[in-house]
Amino acid sequence: MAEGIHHYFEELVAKHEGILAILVTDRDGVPLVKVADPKVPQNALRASFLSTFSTTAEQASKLGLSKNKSIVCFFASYQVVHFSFLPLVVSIIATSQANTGLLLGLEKEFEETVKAVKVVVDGV
Amino acid sequence: MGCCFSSEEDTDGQRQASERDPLLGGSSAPIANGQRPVDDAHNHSSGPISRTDEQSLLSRILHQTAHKVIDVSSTEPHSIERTEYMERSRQYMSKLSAVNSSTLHSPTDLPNGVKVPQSVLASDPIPQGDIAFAIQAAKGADASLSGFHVEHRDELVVQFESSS
Amino acid sequence: MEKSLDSHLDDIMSEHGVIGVLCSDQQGLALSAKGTANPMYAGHICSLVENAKKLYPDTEPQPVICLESDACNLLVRSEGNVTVAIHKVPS
Repeated sequence: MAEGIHHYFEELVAKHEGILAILVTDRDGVPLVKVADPKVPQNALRASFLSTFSTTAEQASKLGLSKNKSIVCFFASYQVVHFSFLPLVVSIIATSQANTGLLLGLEKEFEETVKAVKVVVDGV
Repeated sequence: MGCCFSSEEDTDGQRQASERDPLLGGSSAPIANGQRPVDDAHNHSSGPISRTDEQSLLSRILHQTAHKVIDVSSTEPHSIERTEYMERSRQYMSKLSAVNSSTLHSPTDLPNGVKVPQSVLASDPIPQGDIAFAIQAAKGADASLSGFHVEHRDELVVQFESSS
Repeated sequence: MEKSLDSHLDDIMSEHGVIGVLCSDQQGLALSAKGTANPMYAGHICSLVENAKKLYPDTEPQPVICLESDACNLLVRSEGNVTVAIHKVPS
């Protein structure tokens, strides 16, 4: 059924304008699900880039604003939104013109799916 | 997701620190150098403390401080070995097949709609006044946002230096 | 900082029939939400505006979008960098 999950995220990417890639990874950046458009910069798909979120979120949780849930990073032509489902992390890579509010709202949409994935890979 | 200036209220009863509270108390008067050890001794011990107690106390303080401090130098990601990467992603692949596909339904966003569309279609279009009102509201919001900027009120940096 | 916008939104709220108002920036991030408006939907409101603009690319000024339902009308208009959505009960 691995194709089912892959297909689910493929649909998400296709449905929303501006999304280039969605990745579900563990805290070290090892991908569980990876759906990427060829236009996405390859550096953004590397484990070393994706794993920065889990360490940064840990530090950001100390800001006195309680636990960190998501981080949005804006770059010149891309934006990256990370969601914390620790030990899993969902990263969305989109163009800088994409609707950030919509991307943040996606969390509600894939929440259940990611939780289902989380249960299965628990203990790896 | 909250708003730009929402100051979200906590409904869990107990009030947690809000985003407008300073991280460090404003009353951080410089502490005189000689004062601190005496303070600590008074606060943390009742009676004479043995050497091991003191050690554990110190290490606990060190541990707590390290836990609270935002350490940007530690954000260097620990990269994992290529072989481990391959091994783990292979493991995930096999595990993923166990995910129940019935949970993968996408929620329907469309509301139920109207049972008698005739009445809606036959009803008067939205009044001109409402349209003018929406235009006015948007213009006003745009105008009031022109003066929108962060006001600097409190010191961003709290001085910790002790007066010696 | 936000006082001017806040009081403007309060003015809108005090209008007859208005039960909610949402103000969002171009990125779909909510600046403020009052009444029945939910900041979660700022992104959807903004993409609605973007798509409406595509329907009439040459029209100036920008369109007012109205979603009608039995209970309440949603009026959306964008101006400059800001989009305002108003929940209004039809009178």
